Amino acid sequence: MSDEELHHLIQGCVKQDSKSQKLLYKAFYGFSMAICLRYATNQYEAAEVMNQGFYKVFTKIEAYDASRPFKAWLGRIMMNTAVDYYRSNLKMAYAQELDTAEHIGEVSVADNNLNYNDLLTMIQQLPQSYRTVFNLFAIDGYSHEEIGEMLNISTGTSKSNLFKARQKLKQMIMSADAVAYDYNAGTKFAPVVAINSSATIKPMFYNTEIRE
Amino acid sequence: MKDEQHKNIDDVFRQVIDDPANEPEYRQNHWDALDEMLNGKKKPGKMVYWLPIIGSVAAMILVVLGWWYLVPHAAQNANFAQLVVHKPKGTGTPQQGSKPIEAVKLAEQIGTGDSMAHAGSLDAKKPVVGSFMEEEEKLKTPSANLSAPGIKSLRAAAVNQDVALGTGPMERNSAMIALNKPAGINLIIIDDATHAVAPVNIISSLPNLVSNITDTQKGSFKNDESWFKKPRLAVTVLASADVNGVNSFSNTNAGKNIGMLLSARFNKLTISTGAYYSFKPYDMPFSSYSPNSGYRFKYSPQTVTADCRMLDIPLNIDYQVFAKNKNAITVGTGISSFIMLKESYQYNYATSHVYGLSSYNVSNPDKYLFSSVNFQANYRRQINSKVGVNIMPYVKVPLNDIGYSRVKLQTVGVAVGLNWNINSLPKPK
Repeated sequence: MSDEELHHLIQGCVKQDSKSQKLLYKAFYGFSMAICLRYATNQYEAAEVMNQGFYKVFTKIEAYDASRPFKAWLGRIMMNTAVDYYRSNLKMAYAQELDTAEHIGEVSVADNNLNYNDLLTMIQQLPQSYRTVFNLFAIDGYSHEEIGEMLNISTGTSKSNLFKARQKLKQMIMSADAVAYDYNAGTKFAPVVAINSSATIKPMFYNTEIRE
Repeated sequence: MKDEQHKNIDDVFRQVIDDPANEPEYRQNHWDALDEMLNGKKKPGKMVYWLPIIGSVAAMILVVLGWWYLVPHAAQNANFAQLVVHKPKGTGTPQQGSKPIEAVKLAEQIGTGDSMAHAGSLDAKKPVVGSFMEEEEKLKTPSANLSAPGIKSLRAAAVNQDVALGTGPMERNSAMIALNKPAGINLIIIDDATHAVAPVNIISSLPNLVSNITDTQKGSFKNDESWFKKPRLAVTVLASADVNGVNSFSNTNAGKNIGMLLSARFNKLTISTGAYYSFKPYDMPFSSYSPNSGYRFKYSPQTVTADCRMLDIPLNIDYQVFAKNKNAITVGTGISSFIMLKESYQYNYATSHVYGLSSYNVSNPDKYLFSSVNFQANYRRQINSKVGVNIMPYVKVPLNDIGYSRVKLQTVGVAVGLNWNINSLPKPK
């Protein structure tokens, strides 16, 4: 979509033109949904968060500064909406702080061939507090200080949550690799996501028979 | 930097997750949902949903409290009974000169009720007095006029009981007595010689007065049910066990509830409201599971198990059908609203060789106003004037679909509890 087309659509949205709104929605659906999916637990919630974000966009489109990139503005709204959506749950999870970052160094992961859906599912399986910090730090590029300010938590808590998120992701990746290896050796059912009964988190997708 | 040393795990995710090639495809149903929001059919946000519920509860509490404070006062005004006593000529009292004037002043408070009972032989057919001047004239006329309904709620000012009752013999045959409203009793002393009127509130001297009245009159006083006109407020704490079924009771799960109700009893009618914290698990076939969601199961689950925690806010009205000694039975109906607090679903597949969504936790549970009709019977046994025990079987019939899964949830159960009368009245002797 050219800048001129985008500008035209935005002008239509300012006039609350439904057709323009739909075209803008359609044009940025994938971009917005991708953001919401990694902040959400599943597709249901992602769609709900995304629509809340678009609702803000369409009802406050006058606040958009045309001199700045629309996509960045939209992305920021989606991220903020997602953080707000889970903020009430996040408060309960911020119990432990990590003042020193030494332990972060223990996280490492081997090269693998996991695809988008595999990795997205892993992120979605993280506890919300870990997932939010991991998204903000690792994907969106915010610092711990910025995250602390956004989520109203200390820098130490942000680091702690990032560390734990990485540990859990690493564990999931290793488990997934192990299952993939078994699959090559003749395993009949190969779930994409890690199946590890010793893992502390509950996979969203699993095969009960293999799991047991 | 430690972060930089181990950013590879971040990079693994960033490179794949942030890749535009992986962006999901447009889905029309998501736009339809947003279009509804934009057209005002459905608004996003959380607080908006709470406002009507909070408002309804607040309004109900205000109505109950308002009734409590206002009705007893009104009833008290209307409950002034009247005793008119003619004093024989020559039995003067210190009030003879002043009481007529006092009575006229007090006539401002005259009511126009019609509940006065006439025990005497005086004229009871006088028209209701409409104005102050008319009332003043009537008060100055012989005592027969005083029996008009318009003066029945005449209030007395400060009373010297001994003086008001006088020392001379009462002429009971010419006394007019209206004792069906014992919240306040006026004694009007009329001197036959001067026609002076002396209204006296003798609520505190009731025992002395009653001793001068016939046994029949005392009996009617004792049995008067108007003692209970004042609403009695009670708090009831209930715990219940119930079974829940979707559409029918063919497949049920046991639930439990604990709650508190505030009730106001008006004679045989009781209005109650409050809140229950309910734990409601239920099973449903996948065909009954119909969330408003665009998600499509690749493999359909066979059944869905729901685990719901909710606030049940009932507004019930009950009628007392039986009351003897300390036992009472009421039957009633009402309506319940539900506020979902926690809602999760477990998807059960026919075979384990299926790859699909295993559970879903609804992150923003909704509210469902006036979604079920309640039918209940309540057996109450008073332990003492303050405390009673309740046993209440009940049925909840769904009016609307509730929950994320949008099901008609039926419930039948039994609640047991204790009720505490906040403003229990003294028992009539």
